[in-house]
Amino acid sequence: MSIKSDVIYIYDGSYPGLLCCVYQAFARKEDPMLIWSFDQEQPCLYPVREIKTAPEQADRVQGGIHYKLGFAAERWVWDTWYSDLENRETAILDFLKFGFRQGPSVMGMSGHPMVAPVFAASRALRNEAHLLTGFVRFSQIGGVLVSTVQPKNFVLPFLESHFTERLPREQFIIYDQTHHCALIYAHEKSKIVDMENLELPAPTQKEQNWACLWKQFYDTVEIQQRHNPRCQMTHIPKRYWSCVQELTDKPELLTHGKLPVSVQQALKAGELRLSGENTADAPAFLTPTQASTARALPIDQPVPALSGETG
Amino acid sequence: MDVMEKLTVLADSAKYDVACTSSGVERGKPKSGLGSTSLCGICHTFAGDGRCVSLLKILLTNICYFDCKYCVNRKSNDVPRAAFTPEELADLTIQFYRRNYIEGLFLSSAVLISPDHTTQLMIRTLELLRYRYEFHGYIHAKAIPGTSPELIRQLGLLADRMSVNIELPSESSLGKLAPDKTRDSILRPMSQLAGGIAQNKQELICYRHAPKFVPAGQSTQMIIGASPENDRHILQLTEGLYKKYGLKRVFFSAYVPVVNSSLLPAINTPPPLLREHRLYQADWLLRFYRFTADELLTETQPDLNPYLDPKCGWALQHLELFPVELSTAPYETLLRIPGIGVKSAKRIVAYRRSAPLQFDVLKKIGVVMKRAQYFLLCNGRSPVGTRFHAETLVQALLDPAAFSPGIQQLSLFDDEKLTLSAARKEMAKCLSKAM
Repeated sequence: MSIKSDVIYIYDGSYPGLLCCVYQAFARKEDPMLIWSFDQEQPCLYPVREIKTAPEQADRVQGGIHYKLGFAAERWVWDTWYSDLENRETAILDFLKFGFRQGPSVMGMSGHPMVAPVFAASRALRNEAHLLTGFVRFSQIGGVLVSTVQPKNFVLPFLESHFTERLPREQFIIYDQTHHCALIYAHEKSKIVDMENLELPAPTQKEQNWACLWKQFYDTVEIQQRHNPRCQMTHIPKRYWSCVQELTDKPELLTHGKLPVSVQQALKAGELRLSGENTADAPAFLTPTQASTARALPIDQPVPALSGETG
Repeated sequence: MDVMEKLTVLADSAKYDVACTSSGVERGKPKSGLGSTSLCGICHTFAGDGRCVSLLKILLTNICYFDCKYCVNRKSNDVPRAAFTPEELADLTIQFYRRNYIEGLFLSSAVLISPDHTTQLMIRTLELLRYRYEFHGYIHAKAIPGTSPELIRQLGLLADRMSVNIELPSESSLGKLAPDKTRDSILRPMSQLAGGIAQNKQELICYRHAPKFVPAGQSTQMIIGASPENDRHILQLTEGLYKKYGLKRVFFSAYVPVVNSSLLPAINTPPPLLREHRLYQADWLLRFYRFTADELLTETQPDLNPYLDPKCGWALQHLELFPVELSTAPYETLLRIPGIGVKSAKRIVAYRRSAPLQFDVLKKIGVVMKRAQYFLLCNGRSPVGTRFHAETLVQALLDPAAFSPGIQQLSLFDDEKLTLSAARKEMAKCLSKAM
């Protein structure tokens, strides 16, 4: 491992911004101690270098990853970027520095200290995304399927490809409580938007009936003589339980509370307007007018579909 | 009877079916309708017994004219009976699927009137799902022994996976406990499916849009602990089924006593869960680790050791093959080291192509060093050296699960007031002496 340079990079918190940091680290022959985004900035004794985001530099690094290391490396870098790994920027920089020296064979060196953090982060994210493809629970509110999740990693882009393929004729919202973002899909278009809070009207009686049927089925399929809560918790860790309705015994969790007037007002018309089956209780609550695109996809590249991860 | 009651009765009757996998077929966005499938399968939740709930596992009806002794739905048993109409069941499936409760449908049935009549009802349900609702999700259908081949073929064109339950591991047990089923009536649909799947593969090579017949393959299950067969017999049968019928999975189901019968274990016998677990471990060794049934169990040792997982047990009996040099050993040999799995073996092979292996790298790659350290060399060096006793080795390999409270094998030690850890030490001594 090389000795780190006494410098801290600061960038704008975007993916192209990070690629520019990689570019500058190579251009200046530096290995920055830390890479901070603007909001992480804090007083320190090390010199701080501000890295300006320049699209042509970012493109060059992106192209380098693609042509010198291949698609799988590109995927690892994206995954790490979306993961909750602490200091993910430095982990990506270390991986790329080592990778450009080593060549494409770096992809086989998953246990190497320079590669292991990126490899582990990618695995954690893919595994969590895979688990959530099963653990998401929709409830239908006015013709729209709504769900709330609390993932550690930013998995919405990965859920997007899965659910838009699976339910192409539906309209749905998956709200990520951890990152305050929502995936909205309607009329064959999907978008990830910032959303501070999502409160919804209580589900109808009919909807609660479906939830009750499901809960009844879930309780019935257990073989009592084999009861094994430890095994259950191994497979579905407790942190997912709050969003999986059959595992929470509180029926009030099925109701999401009342829709505040401010939210109703804030969300009126827009390109992704959702329409309900029944206009009386149709949720005109979600349009991305006030919301900027959150953590936009890196350089307009499609997110690779989930494949082969068995969790 | 409303849907809620029917669901309760019919899910309760279906819960003893083991298979709930949704793997084996990949389908992306449908042209119309809804649904997709994922090659690796998706678990949607886990029941209180820790078993995965992936599919809506349900019987079309539990009204049965068979009288299998071990079965909760046999005609002589006094239980509430119910039947879904195909319309009800299709609607239920779609509504559950839209809410992402399930990955698809697992449709089984008791034998109503005749096997053919029941299968026709099942076909009607699947036709509703596939054609009216344009449902492209996963469907697992059970073939009922004694159904005519033409109906099985129709069902196979609608379902993704099919299964025929072999029920009991030998013909004599079958004759005793399931008088209405014969070995032949079970194996006939199984070989028809195997033949159909093989033929369909050929058709798909010639014509890309040929209708797909059971694209996710077939599986089966057998009951463990209701009849006297030993583990060796069961594993040999399993191996035979994989080879002869190209099955995707063979499931084992620890017998849960539901019936008082002089032919079966008493009603308060706990299900043999540890035995079932060991059989599954051995099944994995057959499918992914290139072991054969005869390597794992011999005539002199016909049962799996409850305290060791089968791979560790095999390694202890073949210490002359170890330690293995990781940087040169072929993939097949790596797979045989305790503590190294399929993924870590593949990663070792990939890693050693580009750089020399080191011990700390092995850990990051996913090797369980606690077990593996005694069996490997890395560039000529061993992580533990040569100074260790047979007893330490066995101690490291003993399966902690076999010594957790609640596993019935240990009741022996209660009288002697031995703690679990003492029992573990005792067992290590015992096994190392036998080596």
